[in-house]
Amino acid sequence: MHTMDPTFLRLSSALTGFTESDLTGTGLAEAYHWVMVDRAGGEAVGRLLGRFTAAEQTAEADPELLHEALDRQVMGDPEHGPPARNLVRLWYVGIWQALPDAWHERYGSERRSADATFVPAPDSYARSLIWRTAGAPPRGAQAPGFGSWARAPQHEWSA
Amino acid sequence: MEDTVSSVAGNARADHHDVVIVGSGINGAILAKALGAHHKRVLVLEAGTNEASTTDGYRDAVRAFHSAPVKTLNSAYRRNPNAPYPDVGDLAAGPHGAPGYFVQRGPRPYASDYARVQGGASMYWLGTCLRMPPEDFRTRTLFGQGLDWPIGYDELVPYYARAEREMGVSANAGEQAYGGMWFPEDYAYPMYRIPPSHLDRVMARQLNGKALSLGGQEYTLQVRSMPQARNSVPNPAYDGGRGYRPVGAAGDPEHGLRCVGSASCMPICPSQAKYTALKTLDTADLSRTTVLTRAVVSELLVDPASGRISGVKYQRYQDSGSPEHTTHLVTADIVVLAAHAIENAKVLLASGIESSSGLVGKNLMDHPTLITRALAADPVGAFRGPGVTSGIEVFRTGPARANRAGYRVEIGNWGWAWSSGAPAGHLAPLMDELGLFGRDLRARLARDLPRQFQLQFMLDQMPSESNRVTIDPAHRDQMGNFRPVIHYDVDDYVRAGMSEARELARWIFDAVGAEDHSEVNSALPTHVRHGAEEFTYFGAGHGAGTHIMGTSKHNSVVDDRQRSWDHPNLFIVGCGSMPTMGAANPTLTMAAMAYRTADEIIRSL
Repeated sequence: MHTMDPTFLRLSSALTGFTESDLTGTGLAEAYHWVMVDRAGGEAVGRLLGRFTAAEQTAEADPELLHEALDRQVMGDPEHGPPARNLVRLWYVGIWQALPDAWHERYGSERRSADATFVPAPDSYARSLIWRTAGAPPRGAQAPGFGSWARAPQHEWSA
Repeated sequence: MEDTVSSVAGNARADHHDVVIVGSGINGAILAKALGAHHKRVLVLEAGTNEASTTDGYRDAVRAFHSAPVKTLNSAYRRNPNAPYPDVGDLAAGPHGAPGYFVQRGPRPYASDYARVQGGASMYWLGTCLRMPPEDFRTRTLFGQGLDWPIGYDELVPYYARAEREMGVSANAGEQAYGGMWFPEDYAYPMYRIPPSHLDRVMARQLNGKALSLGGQEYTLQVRSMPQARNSVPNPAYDGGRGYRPVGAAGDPEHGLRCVGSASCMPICPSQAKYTALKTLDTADLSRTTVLTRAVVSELLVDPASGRISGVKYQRYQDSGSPEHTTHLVTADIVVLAAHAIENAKVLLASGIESSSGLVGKNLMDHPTLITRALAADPVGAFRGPGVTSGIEVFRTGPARANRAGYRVEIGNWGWAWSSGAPAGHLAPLMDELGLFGRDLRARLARDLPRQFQLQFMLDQMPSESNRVTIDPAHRDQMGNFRPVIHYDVDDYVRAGMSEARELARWIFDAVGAEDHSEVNSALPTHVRHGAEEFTYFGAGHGAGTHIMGTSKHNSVVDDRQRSWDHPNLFIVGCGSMPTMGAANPTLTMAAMAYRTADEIIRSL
């Protein structure tokens, strides 16, 4: 049975700018945690979460300090940057992008499955955060009704 | 593998049809329906599958689109190595290294795709149903450019009306009477116009009535609603007051009666409020018609004495993944090639038919498209509604066409989707290049995405014999059929149009207070220069001109009813017959021509 480390949700929230409840509300948190572990390897994900926990401790609940620490220690780090950006991609656009071969050779787990770009879950597309952010329903997955496009846009789309 | 030539039912007579139609796209479907109504015995041979034609299969195609990591135009439909077709993603490769279906010989790539599935490219077209203004049929006489058609707007008027009925076009006739296009008194389109988008209204408010001078000509701008083959509110004045009942989803006619704003017309309209050829087949009397899918026509047999087509050879496969097939031969009083401009040329050339004029495969055209993009001053509600609901049409006509390509201006409702894959495509530049994440990333996406819009300029490419489809025995697909070998370029006439269009885009963006974010990628093979300006063009999916119509067998491949000059029982139909396209999306004119051809075939039988 796959269990999700709660740190994964806090990291996801810090990297996407959405609250943990926004993220769990998509129903995709466990699936995305599993994809990370499957594709980047459990050990690399563990180290990423460890780095994040350390950054949280340095920041002492100050979001500005946390952002700075993440910028330096996660996003700008050759090991943690690529999977962290992939996590943002998962949440925002519902796509897992294959990690570079060089990353796999250096940091990946030997037991990793063959990595490839794919859409991890049937709902990944429709529930990707980009649509909420764009203020538009997911194209081809929701139908807001005849003439809805003639109205002035709402600030943020919520299903 | 050993080919076996056999008949469909083992009975020679059973293999004879009044008409064999090659292709089940809009042309094939319209002809099958029109001939079926006259109780003709018709066989339609479709190279692709009907996987997306059933209610369940169609839903699967919607899901395939959701699950595709790259949302290309035909991403809802499965690749089929037995009936391969180009994908815009295949087209970027250089002259010799194309990994896709086309063998691109350059100097620049032909950048448009189509689909070989039941319903053809109508499965993922946008639905634009513009007529061609009268001057589009006489560009040689009026502007010294291109070729004149052997027919004109006036001849097509009744056929336009039939096409608008069949495809269920929504528009207001009064608004479409411009550029010399006229309508019979009291003409009404089947349905009222699709409501213009919020973006259209913003643009109209700021642009309508504004005058500007470009290339020495004066223009007054007007944002005009675009006729579309998607269900809207029926117009009770239609058909002399008899009204119109919208046609719903194929096989599920109570659904799809009105567009519900799924905003994914391309690659697939989930509600089926948008017209596809499936609707025409679904409403046809097919009691004497057989539609055979997975049937790839490889060759037409020609009787050397009479020039008549004596047989149609096709390959039947069961499984798209395996090249295993059987080979069959059918005969017919009349044979119709309706398989797309490029596929028609391919079958003709594979059959040794180059025509007296030698023009088979030549004069390949598209609408090279310049995409400019901007961020509006305020949110405009990008990514909602049909892809385009309005345009600016004044640059399609007029004397400037002597010097530069005419062009349409489409106001794009889907943000920067066409040029950058937005909204998803907007993430990478912000995250990977600007290093944004967290709240900064969210705020920037929320600021940019609702304000994105595009002006898409579709340019009138004139016929040139050097833009052409050929075949080469060295390049075949897995069932041994030819892959199209394409030579293509965009000339100075098109580039001059692009230059003016670019200037116009700057003027409009400035007039509406939008920030210009247009990009030119000099690394792409679609990169071209014109003077100091440079552009990258996109394909519009408007393949045309490979078997043009004209006044004699010396200047054309088909006559004005799309009958082959050299082969009296062969009709070659579709946009391939168009000597020029103007700047209008060609589908409606193509469909009107199909009705004219249907009448001719019924007269001949």
